[in-house]
Amino acid sequence: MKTRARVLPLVLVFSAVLVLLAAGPSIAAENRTSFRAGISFEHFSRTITWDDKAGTSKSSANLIAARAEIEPRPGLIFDLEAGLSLSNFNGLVFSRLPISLDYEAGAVSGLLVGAGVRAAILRSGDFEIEGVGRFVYSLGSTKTWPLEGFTVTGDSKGGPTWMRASAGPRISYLFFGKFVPYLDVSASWFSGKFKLDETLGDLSGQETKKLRGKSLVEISLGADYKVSDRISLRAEAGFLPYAGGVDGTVSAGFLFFF
Amino acid sequence: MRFFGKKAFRPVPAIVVLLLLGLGSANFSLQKAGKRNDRSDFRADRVLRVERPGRPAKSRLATDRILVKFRPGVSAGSAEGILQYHELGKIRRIVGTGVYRVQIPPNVTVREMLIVLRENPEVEYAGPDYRTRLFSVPNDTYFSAYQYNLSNPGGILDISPDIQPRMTAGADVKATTAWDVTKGDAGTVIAIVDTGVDMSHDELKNKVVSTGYDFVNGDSDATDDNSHGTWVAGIAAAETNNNVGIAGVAWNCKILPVKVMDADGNGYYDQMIEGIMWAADNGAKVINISAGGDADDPSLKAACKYAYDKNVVVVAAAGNDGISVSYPAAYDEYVLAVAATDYNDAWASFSNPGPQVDVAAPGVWILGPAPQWYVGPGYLPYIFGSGTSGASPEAAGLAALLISHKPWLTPSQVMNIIRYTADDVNKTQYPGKDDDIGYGRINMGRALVAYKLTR
Repeated sequence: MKTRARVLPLVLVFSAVLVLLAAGPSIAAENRTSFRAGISFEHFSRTITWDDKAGTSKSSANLIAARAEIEPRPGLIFDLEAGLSLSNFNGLVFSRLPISLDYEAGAVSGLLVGAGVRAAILRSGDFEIEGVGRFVYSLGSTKTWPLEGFTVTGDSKGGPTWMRASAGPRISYLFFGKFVPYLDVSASWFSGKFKLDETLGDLSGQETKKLRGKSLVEISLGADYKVSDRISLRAEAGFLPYAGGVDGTVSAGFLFFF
Repeated sequence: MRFFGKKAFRPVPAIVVLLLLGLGSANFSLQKAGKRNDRSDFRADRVLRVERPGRPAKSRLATDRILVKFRPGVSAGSAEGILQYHELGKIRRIVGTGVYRVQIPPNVTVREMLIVLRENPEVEYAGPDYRTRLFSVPNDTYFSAYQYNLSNPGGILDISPDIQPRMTAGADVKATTAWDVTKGDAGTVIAIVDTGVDMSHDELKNKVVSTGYDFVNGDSDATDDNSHGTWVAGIAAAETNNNVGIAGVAWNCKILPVKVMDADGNGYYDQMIEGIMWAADNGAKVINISAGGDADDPSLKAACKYAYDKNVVVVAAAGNDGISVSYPAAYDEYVLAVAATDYNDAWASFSNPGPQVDVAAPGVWILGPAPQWYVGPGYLPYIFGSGTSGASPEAAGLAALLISHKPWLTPSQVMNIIRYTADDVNKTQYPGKDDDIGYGRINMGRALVAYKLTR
């Protein structure tokens, strides 16, 4: 987690650099603020490690969020999102509790907030390079599961929280006009924790699993399609390679321009 | 888990089966079988010797000595002066307890001496030195080598022509499931506070961590001169997965022999007290006591507390009188009391009932190792016996596996895990905790395998 603590400020600094670059004179043009809002959906699966990499399991999440974007000047876009998450951490084993628990209870709902920045850095012919940074945080609701089959009654309660941060360049191809395909190559960090409390008769215990995504790189292909002056659609698919495997992500959404 | 089928035993020259019954019952018997080449020969040629000596009529306490403890603040010099004033001899202080074991003058009874001492304001406690006894005594019969207690497939338990009970599949401690999680750790030591251990036995010679201590003869050689301790030690942690003999509950855990009972299976509280404390001070993580006495004694309780406070799990047999739970098993706060069930998960009628019973484990026809000298030449060094003595080391083995798997657990947590994960096998008759089997028959699998949290 110390590494994570160092990484987060780096992401923020990187994002700030992007903003400064975007604020430079090279891209500056029409100084008019624009707003758009929409809805996005995302599904991702990530291989996570826990117990200092001693344990590995697959997690997945479905995110649906309302999204607002503000473009204070051309080439610089800030976005905020808020919504719901359904996070599944099946396969986590809580072995430090008095009675070990193997989490197979499926998805836990939660609240989702996020923020991002996109800044144009360079444009050459039909290609544009932007810097993209994004941060998402999910606060899972606390759920209770009964512990059955024991000689005394008991239950377990808890839930996950996680965060994801990514930053990297995006190369867009502007040739088609309304249809803009792009390629993202970003550093991607995933970390979280899943806390469980166990109570069984006179036994009680608490264990927090620190979770970490195995992959640190995300490569995505996506496209924006401007259906009209007011509506834009976006779809994206990505993969996250790591030693021994690959994780995936897909997302889709639309934006309404005001 | 392996079963010894008939084929497996064809090359074996002989088998001795020994049934161990509680001394609390009026009689016990000892039977020995002759050499056996195959099943039919075994039955035709067997030579039985039946001994029914009955239970020796012995006082339940030592008639020549007592235990005395002085109030805090009384110096050792003052205490010994008081004892000498009362002409008490052979003064021996049990280290760490403040309890003195002293011999009373020949012309004074225990009762008279206790009355005098209890009037002394410096004396906190004065009581008899109660006798302890084994909970299983040999009663051998022919042996067909099952360990249904660890994994019960059902069918007939073919012990001898006249002992062929039908078993219920699954009436076992679910050992094989638990062994998928852990087979124990060599750093987890189970002290067998008993008659000693046969340290040359193939099942045990690589399992003992030292020659232990003999509190009967006062030396550092806890060799078994009775057989009971060897049987108990093997049930808990016999050499396992070695292609011979039997499986122990805690495959990889080690054994610390502590001898507190003599060759006849007799002992006294002072020896047991010293044995428990010595074990706690010498690396034991679990102490199994398949013995006990009828009387409550604060010093024995204090010894159990001493071990408990040193993070040692104390497991003891409930006893075989069928009356009430023996001591130290009855010390509920500090000791896990183990009753016995059989091959059908039914309560064994010899098993002492009482509110202090925590759990049960199979204790009828349990196979364990025995010294070669005990079974005689030409016989396999194993006995097949019954008693809560056989049930207790199964629970002790489970405690050792739990500690191996989760060394941070406290004794209280270990005991509660064993209690709460038991199978309430008599719930149709007595739902919930009851006096016969406590919370139920232990379930090693449930205690060790992670519980699946599902929707």
